[in-house]
Amino acid sequence: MINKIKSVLLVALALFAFVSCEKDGEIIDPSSNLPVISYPYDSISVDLNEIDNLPIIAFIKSEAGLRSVELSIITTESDTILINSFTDFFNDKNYSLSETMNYKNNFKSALVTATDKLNRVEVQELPIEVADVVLPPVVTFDPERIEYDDILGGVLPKTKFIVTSTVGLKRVEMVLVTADGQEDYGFPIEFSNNEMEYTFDEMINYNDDSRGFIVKAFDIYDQIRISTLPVVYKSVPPPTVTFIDEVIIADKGENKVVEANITSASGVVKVDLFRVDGDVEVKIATENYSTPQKELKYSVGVEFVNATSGVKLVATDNIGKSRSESIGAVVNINYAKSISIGTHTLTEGNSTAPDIYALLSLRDMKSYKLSDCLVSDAASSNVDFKVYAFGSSAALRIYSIDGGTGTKSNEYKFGSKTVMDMPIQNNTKFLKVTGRIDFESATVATIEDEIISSQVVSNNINPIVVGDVIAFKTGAKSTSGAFKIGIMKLVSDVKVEGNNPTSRLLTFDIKIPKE
Amino acid sequence: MINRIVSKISLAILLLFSMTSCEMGLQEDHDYDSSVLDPNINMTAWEYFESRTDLFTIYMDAIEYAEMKDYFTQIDTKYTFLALTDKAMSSFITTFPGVDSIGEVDKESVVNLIKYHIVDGEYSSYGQLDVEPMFVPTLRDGESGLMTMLVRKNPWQNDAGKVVVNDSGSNSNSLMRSAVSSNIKPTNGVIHVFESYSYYKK
Repeated sequence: MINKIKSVLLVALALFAFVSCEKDGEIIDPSSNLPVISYPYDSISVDLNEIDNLPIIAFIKSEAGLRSVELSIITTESDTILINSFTDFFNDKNYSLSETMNYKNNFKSALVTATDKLNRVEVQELPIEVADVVLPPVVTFDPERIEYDDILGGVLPKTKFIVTSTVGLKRVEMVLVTADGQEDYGFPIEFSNNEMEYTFDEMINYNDDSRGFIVKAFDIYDQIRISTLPVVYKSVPPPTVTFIDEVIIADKGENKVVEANITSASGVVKVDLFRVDGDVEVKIATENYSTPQKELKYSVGVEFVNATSGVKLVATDNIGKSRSESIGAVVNINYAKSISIGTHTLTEGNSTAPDIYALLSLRDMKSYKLSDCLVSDAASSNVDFKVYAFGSSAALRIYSIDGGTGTKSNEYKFGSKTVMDMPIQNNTKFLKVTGRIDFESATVATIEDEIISSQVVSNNINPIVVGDVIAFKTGAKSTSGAFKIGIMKLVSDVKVEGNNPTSRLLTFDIKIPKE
Repeated sequence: MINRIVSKISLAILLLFSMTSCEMGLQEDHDYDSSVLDPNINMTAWEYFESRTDLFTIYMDAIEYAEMKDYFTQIDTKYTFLALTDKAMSSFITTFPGVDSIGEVDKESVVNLIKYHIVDGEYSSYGQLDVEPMFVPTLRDGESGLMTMLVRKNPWQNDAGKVVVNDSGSNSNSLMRSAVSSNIKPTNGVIHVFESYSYYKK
């Protein structure tokens, strides 16, 4: 009887224990399956160079309902680190674990431990593959620095570098650094196959302005390495050539010495002298110096001809740099520079422009006052043209001596006399040749070839401006010679007197071929 | 005569009484018992799609092309089917230049699409989906198979009540999709209907 009672109590106790597992009417079946843990992937690949590594995700199903879930990390040192523990579940039969991790390079695996309400434990491991932090690409220059000295000479080294990366290159950019700033060198080089190495070997012609060569290398993680190759390019200036004369004046066939001072930091080893005959350069002399000359007084005789417009001198130093300088030559020409003449208001002179008058003599290359020209035939035939300024705008004109009122002769006055009263009035003719003839380089040959006498027929040029080149033909009675053809260039125009805009001082350069 | 009078009076009283008897008493208080329409459709997911050929013709073609029909016809395992309408499928097809029908798309792409839209287990709004995004196990393996789901329950949200896949920011850069119809319960799981297809974007 007692045993029966005990049995009944035991059954009641068991029944009570079973009932205690109930929650809100739910009965947990002790035969329910164990928790099942699964991962969306067989292993998780983590790259510590990336910022968006995946979280650890696990799906845990439990027929009995979950009591707790723990996430731990097992390190390569076999340590177990508890990351998080969960006991509150929205759905304790089906739980989705997601844990954003701060991964370390010693993480070996993730461990999820699930305990159900029957205190049954299930564990599942997820291997973690960690790619450790990698260094940015490395740029190695060979040589590490480029120095070139003009004086020392030699061959400028090629620019060589190797870019290496442990994870793969993405892009290489090159920049040339100059004194003015930076400029891209070529286009960026893109890599699409995770190339681990890139080699550059090219000749870059650095110069005085070069300061360096920058290489920017990007790897697949966009890590960047910027390396600079210093470039020092020491250059010396080319020789300097200074002629002793501003212009060489010679007669036809005259042998005249051309002199120049030549300096060079590295020393001159060769000088070439050319005579310039129009478009043709004729080599006159070549001087070689076995010992480089840092200072040289150069002096060589040159025979000048009618076609000669100048000479050219080329000095070359011992590193191959050269300087070419030229000067003009006036051969067999009466060449007068800066001859001044006044307009009609200066017929008898002006205190602000001493010795400048309105009538110009091509023979004497000077101006005369009207009063001097009225006295005799010789005096009046000695002047060839006059200049005039018209109106408030002071439009400049050239007039022949003759021509009467048509060449404004009546406005050049001395007392009651005018130019029209001169006993001889030269009938000089003019032709504007601006643009056709370069005054500075014009030779006898130029003048003879380019100016046709029959085309020089006008007794005036209206207007003329500074820079104009005018051909002239003297009158039959000119003391400078009958029908001589020459050229002149107006080089300046200056107002000389008070408020009168027509009072001008004009300056000409004049070339008249000799007989 | 008296009998007639008595009869008429009796008839009038009877009519008056009968009219009085039409009066209804005041309605008594009664507790409101909430309930939802039964979501169970007593057919498999495949049979459901067959009943809605106006929506799922291309989707069914894709399932058969991918040789995955068994997932939709079996009844041993519960799945969450993210069903794609013809509009969603047409959009998927246009991502393949020069392709006009699902049968011209390479098979692996179609298999991946279908697998990504089947989740192992039941995830309906009835206590299985949380309002916070949770990762769910799609049939597609690896990182490309990652997907989150949730259900909007905040009444202030304009998509309240909707099942949402890959809520913005919950699954890398994957684009969010909202179901246009949800919690349809076939015998082999639950169906949510989408007019845009989903994919994982890192």
